Amino acid sequence: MGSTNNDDQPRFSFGSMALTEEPGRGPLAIDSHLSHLDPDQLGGQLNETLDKLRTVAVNEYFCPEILPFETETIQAMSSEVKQQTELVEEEEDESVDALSFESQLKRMEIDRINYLLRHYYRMRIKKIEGSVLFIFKDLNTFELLSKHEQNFATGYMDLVEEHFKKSFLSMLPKKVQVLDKDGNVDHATGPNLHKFVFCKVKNSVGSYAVGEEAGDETLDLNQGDILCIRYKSIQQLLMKGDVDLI
Amino acid sequence: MHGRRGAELLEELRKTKWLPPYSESGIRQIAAEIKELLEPFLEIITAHRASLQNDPRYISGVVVFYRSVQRNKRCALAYLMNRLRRIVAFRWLFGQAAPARLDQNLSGAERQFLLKYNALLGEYCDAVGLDLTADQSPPRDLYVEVRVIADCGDILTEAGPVALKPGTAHFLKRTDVEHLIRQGSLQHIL
Repeated sequence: MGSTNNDDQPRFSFGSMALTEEPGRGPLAIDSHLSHLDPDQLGGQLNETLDKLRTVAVNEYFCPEILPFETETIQAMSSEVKQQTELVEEEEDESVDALSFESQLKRMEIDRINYLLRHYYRMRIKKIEGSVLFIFKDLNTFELLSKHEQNFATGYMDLVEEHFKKSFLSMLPKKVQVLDKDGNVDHATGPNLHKFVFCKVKNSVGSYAVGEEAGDETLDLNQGDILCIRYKSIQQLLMKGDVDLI
Repeated sequence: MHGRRGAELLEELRKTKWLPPYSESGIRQIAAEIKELLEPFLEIITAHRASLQNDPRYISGVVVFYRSVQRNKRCALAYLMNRLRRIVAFRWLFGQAAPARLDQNLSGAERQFLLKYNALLGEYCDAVGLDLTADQSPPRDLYVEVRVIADCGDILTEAGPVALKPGTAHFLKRTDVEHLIRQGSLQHIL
């Protein structure tokens, strides 16, 4: 039950792509399975979208603040995945051997792409949850969220406020009940823009001011350079797409 | 000393890995202390308004009392917020089984929060079209070999229902059993 191992097929570990060959059967067996898959069909455009998704997901993971929601990339990738899933399911329905090699490969790929998508959404949700109060104070950040994320953020904010009120603030006299400044410290703390990040320069920018004040320090940024630098210094470049976080 | 109870509550949180029982009394004590501190503060402001301009005794009194109030408030809110974060993390790890495991350590308000958070997260996942709590690490294999540790009843797979009895080993699709592996009811055999 659920076995992928017929006696006459080599067994694969998809993670490491190691092929164990049985005597008399070599790569030829795989070739015959794959021969009818046309390389040209396997979408140059799909690869581009996938690369973009990977870059976007990695950038979001390492960035201390919330980046603008990448609607086009996500939508393009999601619809591709949906199409592909439907195709695979159709094929599985038609053929008797539902666990064929191609079907598994395709399913694995779908799983991996879904993982990237989930990772992207998850990262953003974690960031939203981490700084709800700040999001509602600073309208720019709120605009960067997708519509669904905005609904989620509003809902979460309401939940947290309600919980605070019920558990504690209702016990206090009215004047102290507000959630705002607390001495010199704001309740709503924003992201730490001074966190150090690794980044790679995609497009040469030449001399760029990276110091705290204007005109402090300049660095020569050429394509392919890898830097470990305070996020604030490269924030603008990241938004423009000249650097990527790694 | 002002703010001692607040510090104690936070120490309690710091020492526990997951969630200690909710300290209703601790929170009430902090609220009571805040009310206590507000009395001299308000008295100074109303009765001694004039002296506030020049007399350092009254000025420092105002500052000390109000700062203590703020510190207490901050400690209490930090306690609550931190617990909320841990509850949310627990939910992500254990899925819908979370409430059962946490139940005795939660306050009533926290239970309600968890229920509503579940609903909110479910709504978002539906809107997005993907279950976000699945696949929290990159998937390696399509099928996984697992040994059953705790009885999970039957799960429905493509090939029909599979009974997961303790001590048995199965070779199943990762997506079907991943949440059980995370909860610890199944052990992934590498």
